[in-house]
Amino acid sequence: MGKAKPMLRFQLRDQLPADLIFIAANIGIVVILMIITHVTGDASGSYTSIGLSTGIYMLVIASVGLRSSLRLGAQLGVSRNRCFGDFVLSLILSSFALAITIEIVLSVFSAATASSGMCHFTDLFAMLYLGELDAGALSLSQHLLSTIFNLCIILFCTAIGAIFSMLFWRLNRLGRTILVILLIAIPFCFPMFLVYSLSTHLPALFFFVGKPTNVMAVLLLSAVVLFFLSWLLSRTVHIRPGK
Amino acid sequence: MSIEFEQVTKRYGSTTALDGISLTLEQGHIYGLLGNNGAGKSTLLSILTDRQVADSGEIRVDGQPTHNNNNALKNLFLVGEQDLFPTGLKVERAFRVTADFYPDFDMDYALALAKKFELPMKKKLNALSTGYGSIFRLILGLSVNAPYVFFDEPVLGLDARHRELFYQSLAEKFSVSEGTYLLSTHLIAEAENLIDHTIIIHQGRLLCDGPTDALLDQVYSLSGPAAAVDSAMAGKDVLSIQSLGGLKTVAIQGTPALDLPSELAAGRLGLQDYFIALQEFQEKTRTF
Amino acid sequence: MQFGGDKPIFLQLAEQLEDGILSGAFPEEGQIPSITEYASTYKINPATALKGVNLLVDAGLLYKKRGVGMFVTQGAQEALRQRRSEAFYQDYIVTLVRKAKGLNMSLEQLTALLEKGYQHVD
Repeated sequence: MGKAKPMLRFQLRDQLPADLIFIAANIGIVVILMIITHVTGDASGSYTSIGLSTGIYMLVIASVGLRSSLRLGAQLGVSRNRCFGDFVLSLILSSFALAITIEIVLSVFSAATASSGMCHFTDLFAMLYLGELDAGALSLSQHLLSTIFNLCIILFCTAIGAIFSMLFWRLNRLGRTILVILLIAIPFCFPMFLVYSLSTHLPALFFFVGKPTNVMAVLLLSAVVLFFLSWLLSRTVHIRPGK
Repeated sequence: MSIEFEQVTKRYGSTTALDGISLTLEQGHIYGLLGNNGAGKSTLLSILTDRQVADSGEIRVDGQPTHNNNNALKNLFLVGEQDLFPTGLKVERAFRVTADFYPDFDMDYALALAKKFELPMKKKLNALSTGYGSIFRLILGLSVNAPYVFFDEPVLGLDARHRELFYQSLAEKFSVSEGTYLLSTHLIAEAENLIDHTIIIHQGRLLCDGPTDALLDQVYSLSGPAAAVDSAMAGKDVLSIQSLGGLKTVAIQGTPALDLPSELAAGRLGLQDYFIALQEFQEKTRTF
Repeated sequence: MQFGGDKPIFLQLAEQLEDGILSGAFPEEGQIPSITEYASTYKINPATALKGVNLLVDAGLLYKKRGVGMFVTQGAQEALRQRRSEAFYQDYIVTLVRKAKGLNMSLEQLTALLEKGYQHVD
């Protein structure tokens, strides 16, 4: 038990400044957007994907932080399991905090600019499922759903970051080359796959995606599976100093 | 609390880095882990502290396997050739973080050593030179007060004065504390008087494992005119031979006869000389 | 002071201590440096230092004051002188004669050298 606190504390203390900078940067972007709209009088600008960009940010945090965490644990006598577990916990806590924060930030800015007919502040959930372009118009329960939706996206992204980080660490040169080839092949193969599935399973797919709870469940389930695989890899990886 | 290595084996592709190493470490010693480059010393220490996983075999601390085990790992501290801290961490923060994880860490002692070695406390770890990186790590090792502390090439890049300071600090620390230390080093001559128990690894196998004094009691050098040396060394386990003109010096496994001819001189080998002689012997008897 | 490789360290340390007692550098009832000081100054293992010191303790030349340190026993200097005198033959004479014979020196020549030494060496 004694070792749980120092590791978790360190990880959170490490992540917090980065999270704050991320939020501040986003607020900065929003402010700039508002200024531009005000100056140019062009109200068609929109700020719509903060959930996704938070996800990408957390993906990077996860991929870098997992290795960093395993390394620190190896230096300071903490088991791989404890490092991994504490790190995932810190990711979850961060994701929660960020999801709530961005929802609040979005609402605040939306409310602030509602009257002036300026750019749109909204997010994926609202756009896809509520057809809403104005975050300020959401009810509290809708905000809650939006937050949870974002949370699922973010957690999924962290899991992606973790699994790729571990894969690249664990595989030898050959494995890594194969992985890179696969990753490059996806943007080429995916459109073909999309066309095929759309033509044959379009209704079913739409039906599935149409329910936000389905999407959230798939994201969370995938995250769990990917984290589990990352954990398996972390058990045997050679922990070496980084650059 | 002892550490047992049981048949530890590690392979990299077709090379065997460690081949069934078995040995036991007990508390209250300064161990020396000696071996050539590539002998497997760093790999052994790496597996011990679970930075790498063995292909077979097990390492146990007080009966508990070290792999993925907090209870075992918290008793160990490895000062490697590089540390695993986030590279942008500042020295003083790294000290505090280590103190967080090792409750017996002596911060006052660490700060005093940092002053003696002139270690810049405000610098980031990746901004330290090779020498100061080593100094940073060895200060951690001396201050951490874990039951077992392992130094893997701790004096890399250190000037003579700093190396002296390290050995003195280690001797003093060992004298007043309960810790057990292991020194894995190429600079055997400097450290040989500190090492009371010697472990020698060669090509992944255990060559030697015993109290330093006892090991050196069992080997001697013989020098004198070549002919006299030749007849004296007949039938003995000769480890190494050195010739210069008509004079010959050999290292022999065993104890010198009491009635040596007067033109021959028998002497005691230092640890480094013994190590080198052993390497020469291994080279000679290598099977292809 | 360095420790060479020709004899076990603890023996060398013991010898140095004895030399110090004999020469008066370590006066009787006086304290000698602690094990820690020896270990850290000469960069030797404290266990080795202890072994060397214990040789003198066993011979009655040093004694331990609990909580203070190691002290030279009363009469140690004289006891050492005695012991060294008795060992003189083995330690020096045997080697001297062997070396002299190796140079084909006669007893008379050796004696003459000894006389010269007593005259000129202080």
